[in-house]
Amino acid sequence: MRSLLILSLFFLIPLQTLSQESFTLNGYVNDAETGEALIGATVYVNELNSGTITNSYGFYSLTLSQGDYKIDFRYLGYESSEEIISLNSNQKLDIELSGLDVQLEDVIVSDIAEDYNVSSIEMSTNKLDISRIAEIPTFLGENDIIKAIQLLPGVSSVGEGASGFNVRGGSVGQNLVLLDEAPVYNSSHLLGFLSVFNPDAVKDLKLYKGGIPSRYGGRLSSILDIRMKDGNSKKTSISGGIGSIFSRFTLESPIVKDKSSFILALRRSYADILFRPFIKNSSFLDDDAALNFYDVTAKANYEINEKNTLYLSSYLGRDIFMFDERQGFNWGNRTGTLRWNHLFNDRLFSNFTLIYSNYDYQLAFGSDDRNKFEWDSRIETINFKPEFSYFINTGNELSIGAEMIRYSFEPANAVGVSEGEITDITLPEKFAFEGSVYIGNEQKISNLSFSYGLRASYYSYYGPGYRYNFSDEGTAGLRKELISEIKIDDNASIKKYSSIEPRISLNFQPSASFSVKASYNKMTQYIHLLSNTAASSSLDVWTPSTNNIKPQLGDIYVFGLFKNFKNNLFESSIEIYYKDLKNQIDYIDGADLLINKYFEGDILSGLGRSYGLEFLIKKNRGNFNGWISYTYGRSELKINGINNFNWYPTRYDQTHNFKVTSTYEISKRVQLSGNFVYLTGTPVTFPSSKYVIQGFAIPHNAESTRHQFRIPNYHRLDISATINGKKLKRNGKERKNDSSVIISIYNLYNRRNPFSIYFSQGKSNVTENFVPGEVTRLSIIGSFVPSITYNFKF
Amino acid sequence: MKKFTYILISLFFLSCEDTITPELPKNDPILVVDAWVNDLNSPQKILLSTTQDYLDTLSSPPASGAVIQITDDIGNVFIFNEAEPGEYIWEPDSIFQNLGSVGNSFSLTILYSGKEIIAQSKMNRTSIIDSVNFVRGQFPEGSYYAEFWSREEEGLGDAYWIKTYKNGIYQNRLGDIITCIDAGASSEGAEVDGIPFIPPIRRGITRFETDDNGDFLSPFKKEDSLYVEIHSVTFEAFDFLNKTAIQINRPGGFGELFAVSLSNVPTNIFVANDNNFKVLGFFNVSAVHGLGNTLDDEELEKIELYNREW
Repeated sequence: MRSLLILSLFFLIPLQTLSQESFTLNGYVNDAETGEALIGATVYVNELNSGTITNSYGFYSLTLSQGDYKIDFRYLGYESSEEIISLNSNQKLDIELSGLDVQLEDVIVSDIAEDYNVSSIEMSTNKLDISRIAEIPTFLGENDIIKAIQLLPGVSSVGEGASGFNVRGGSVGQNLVLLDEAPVYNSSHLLGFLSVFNPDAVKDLKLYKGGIPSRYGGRLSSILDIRMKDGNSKKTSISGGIGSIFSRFTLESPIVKDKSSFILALRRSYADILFRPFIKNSSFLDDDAALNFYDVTAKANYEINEKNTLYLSSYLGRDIFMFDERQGFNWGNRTGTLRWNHLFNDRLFSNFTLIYSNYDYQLAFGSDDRNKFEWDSRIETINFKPEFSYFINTGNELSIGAEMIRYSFEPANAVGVSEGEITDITLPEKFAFEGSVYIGNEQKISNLSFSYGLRASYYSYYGPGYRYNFSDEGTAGLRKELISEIKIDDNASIKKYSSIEPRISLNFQPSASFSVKASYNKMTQYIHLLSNTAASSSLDVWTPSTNNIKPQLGDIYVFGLFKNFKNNLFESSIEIYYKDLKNQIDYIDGADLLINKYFEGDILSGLGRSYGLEFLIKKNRGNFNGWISYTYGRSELKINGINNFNWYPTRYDQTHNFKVTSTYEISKRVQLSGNFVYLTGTPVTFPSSKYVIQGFAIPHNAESTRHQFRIPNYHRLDISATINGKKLKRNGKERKNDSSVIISIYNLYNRRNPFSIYFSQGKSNVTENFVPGEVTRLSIIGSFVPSITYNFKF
Repeated sequence: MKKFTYILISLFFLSCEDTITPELPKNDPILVVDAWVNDLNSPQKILLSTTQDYLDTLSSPPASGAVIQITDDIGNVFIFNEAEPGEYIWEPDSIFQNLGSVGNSFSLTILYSGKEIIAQSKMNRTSIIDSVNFVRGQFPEGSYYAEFWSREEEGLGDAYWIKTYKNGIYQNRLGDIITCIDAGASSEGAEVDGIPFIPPIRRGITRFETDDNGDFLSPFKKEDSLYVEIHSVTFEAFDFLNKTAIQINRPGGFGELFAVSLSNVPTNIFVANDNNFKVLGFFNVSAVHGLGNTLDDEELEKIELYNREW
């Protein structure tokens, strides 16, 4: 099977034996106003009814036979540009496109058709650009990338306030979140209410839920590829905003005009200042208390010459939660990406990336140095990624690359001091290496296009460290008994794994507005986010595959129909997916995952499956636009020791997930937006009885089932109004500065949407003739939440 | 961590809770054995009852007519007689002052409607309490907290359950299950040994409560007494208590984001002659050491004299 695939790969790539002489046209497509590279801009050759799109750096390359061509450069929301080219030698053509101005919009009756939805090989992929995200009404009035993608089909979360997101029934830890190629290991601020990505510094994002190209790997469910803005290379601009929870400030400027620029974006919350009066009332926090977060997102780029460009980007963020001077909790990510784009020749584009990423948290408790507890934990990775794209001809684009990742995990550095006596319960550091190579090609043959590739990955968990061996003989679902603990020397392997991952996609497009697509992916995930709580928390630790924890494997099948209507004014799609998953993780009851060197004995492993149907209809243009998405989905696990070894739904299983988001432009200055969300309640376990032991009333579920009931369905409507400042002064001249005010109401009709139902004794105790038992329905956000945000730019 | 949860709850005042009465599944009554006995020279009690519907708040239905005995590994037999329905008692006498000593193994045998129900336990060493102290509290002002001092014996593998009695009343409210391995670990995978019990354990006997307005109350007031007992438990019993605490001590509010799914707590009780007959509960034999104190004038003076605070 494997050799067959490799063979077919070589057969399908046509050799360069063209009788007619051909030449290459290449270049970059940028925004005329800011110099930002435009990702995914269409380069369309009218004569061939075909073309290409720009890559993540705005680069395109087309190899055509000698001749005259009319080439259109298009990008949604921009004026398109039409170029007449006489191609009789290799040619470089950089294009700048201007954003569609509001004033111009009336002049252009119909802007150019975008049929990417139908024509591209991509499926199960959503691209959102930051200006679209900005229109979505949000909690506390702040645009948020993670909240925005939760409005897309197939994307959900455990509930309000929960961090991360779930894609097609996958867990939060099965998403690879990349910020300028750097993996971000925890994407939340303020637990889960906001994400760490500052929308002012983000250019666009792409979410791959299936049909994942061979250049990505390492997670089972999805890849969220977020690209930062390059910074304005034409002029200095300052923008910012003042919101209900934090303020934002962004500076963009050229370093060398048209060659080099930077962006620096800052956010700082003032939750502690706002909440102080409430905290004071609860008489619990003193003046040293703090609750805030900040983040700094920065990027610079430098075009050395036509063939070489350097990019340096970095993120630093921290959430700080101190309840007095000494005691508290903080967590955050740090990332750095250095990229070098090099053009070997007109058709061979390369990118070398060096990435650093770190997520850590720290806790400190204790009143003085004689009695305290300090604990920190981190994951740190260094990646190196060489990547090559070879634009063979208009029908073929070959990509080859590799990725090397060195992981180091510090599960817990913990020291306790009790009456001056120090106990060090630090767990040993762990090391792992993940290496992969991939090859992929995109090929078009008339109305059929293919994307096929292979990714081969190798993983080693190596010393210094320990290999723990556990007994297999105990009762399933209970803590496994440790048999032996073997110390492993530096650099000696504790456990190795490897995997071959075929990636195949197909697009058959019988007409200009309709296509049928299918894809098959194999995915392998070597690191795991351990979390046995309802929502993922900041204390959850990432852990490597070991001799006890096997890599998670997934076979992902997708089939879809794509149809555009009315000259691409409406795009629609229906996709069916099925995921067959192995080595899925769950936990024994009472698992101790944090400071426990034997935690591997608390982990259970088994099968997973998720399947569903997604429907999306989207209107991209006009005064009234937006999308409707519906997902029918199931997400289940079958693990020995849980639910009597029968399939059970995961905590994030949602049968129906219906979402509408729309924007209506009343006038050039006023715009209204709304979201409506309807979700099936998430699963919950109900007890069938209770009993008393030692004065405690213990719930009991006689069938030992898990998640056999559901909390009530969730629905919510949010609205917002954006009022833009006047563009023109009284004298008719254009204003230098832009401003806008966004007023939003989250949960407009004030519904108490439940997050969970739980069972407890309430405030009562067991007494001789009273055995308490209460059922509580909890809503995380139990009322409507109005907010106002002011944004400026000059 | 407790403090942390409180802050979250007070911060995210947007969250709200409603008590509901959903349709719950039901099961036929299951026999429940509550057999936690110890080495004290006092009557030892084993309770037999059955499960009841979750929302039924009447006292648990007793299970009468059982024949119960505990035997140890050196041939002693302790007969438990039914004093009240479902309440079986063994009283110390001139021959046996208590159930035995540290290191002994015990078997529980119950004959109940034709079923032979059995369980095993072992009495492990406990830790000696040097003192129970009251200290000045910070929240609210003028409040008093308490802590106990005990140096846990060196050597890994001990497990404890700390029980408290406030003004003579057994504290079985939520959050009152204080357990640890050695001097404060939550599992065998961390080694905290041979030191005074770590602050979350020794101070865990102070429980913070709020009034109806959400304001914190002083955990102890003048003339309150507090009696602390350290019970040695087996690892299985520690696991049972730990899982019970997870199931019953629901954080509520925002803390529910980080709660785990409801699941059954384990049992170490088996039916020897019928695989289909279900039984729940736990059997454990503890060695106990206890000590108390009263927040009287003398203690108040000591607080001032030694400037006792956390």
